[in-house]
Amino acid sequence: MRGETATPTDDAALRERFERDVMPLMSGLYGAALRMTRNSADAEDLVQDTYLRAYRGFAGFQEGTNLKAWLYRILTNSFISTYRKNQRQPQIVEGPDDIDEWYLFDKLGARNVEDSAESEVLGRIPDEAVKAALESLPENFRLPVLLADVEGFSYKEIAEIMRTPIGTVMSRLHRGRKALEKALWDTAKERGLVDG
Amino acid sequence: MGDASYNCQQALREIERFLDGELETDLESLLQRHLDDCQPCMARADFQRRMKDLIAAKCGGDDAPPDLLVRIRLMIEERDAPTG
Repeated sequence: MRGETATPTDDAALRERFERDVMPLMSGLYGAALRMTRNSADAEDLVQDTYLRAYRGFAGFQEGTNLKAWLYRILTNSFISTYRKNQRQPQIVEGPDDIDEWYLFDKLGARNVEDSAESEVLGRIPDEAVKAALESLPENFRLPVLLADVEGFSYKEIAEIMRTPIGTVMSRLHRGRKALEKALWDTAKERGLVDG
Repeated sequence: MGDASYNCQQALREIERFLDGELETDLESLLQRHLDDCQPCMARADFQRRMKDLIAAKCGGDDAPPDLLVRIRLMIEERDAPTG
């Protein structure tokens, strides 16, 4: 990478550092891989591939820089280059633009759901259904929401991970969240948590 | 102390970046002051915050399968010295 050449480190030390710093991040990466690939077999392959690539590149990774973002960038690249073409759902590049601003807030509000009960309605949607709602979003919108809200990355980090301009990240994140609100509303209706 | 030049429309546009921690400091304090004074905007901000929390709570927390961890460790041990 950039900067001065890393001091010669023996392989054992490198492996130890990898074990210490990178291995503990596996569950987080696996969760993200599940949301990306939408099935556990592909998610495991994707994480394995990511770890292999990360290990190969680890000697060049500068300690003290953003390790988590570096790994998620490898994960995202692996996903895009390898697994995306296997996905059954056709890639929709155009976004859900016809969804109103404050879609879910207004839907819940229109039913006179009290403030405190709004989140209760959402809270009653089972985890699996919320995951399915997120996974139903087109990839371009799903990834920014996943990286921002689940993984806690900043706009700048997401732009680097996805190799897109920051303005594109912000617009996709916004549209992705609206699409997610609609998907959650549809789910809540299907489950009888709100009146259709 | 409301700022007359700062209205609900601007507030609602900026809530998302505010909750993401991405709003510039001066805009952040303007928005915060507006929210303190404006219950309808505050309600939307609260709702949006709960949405973020919900997604974080419900879409994360998966554990990697133990055999995946074992497989990856083996794979790394079997590899030759990594190259930079």
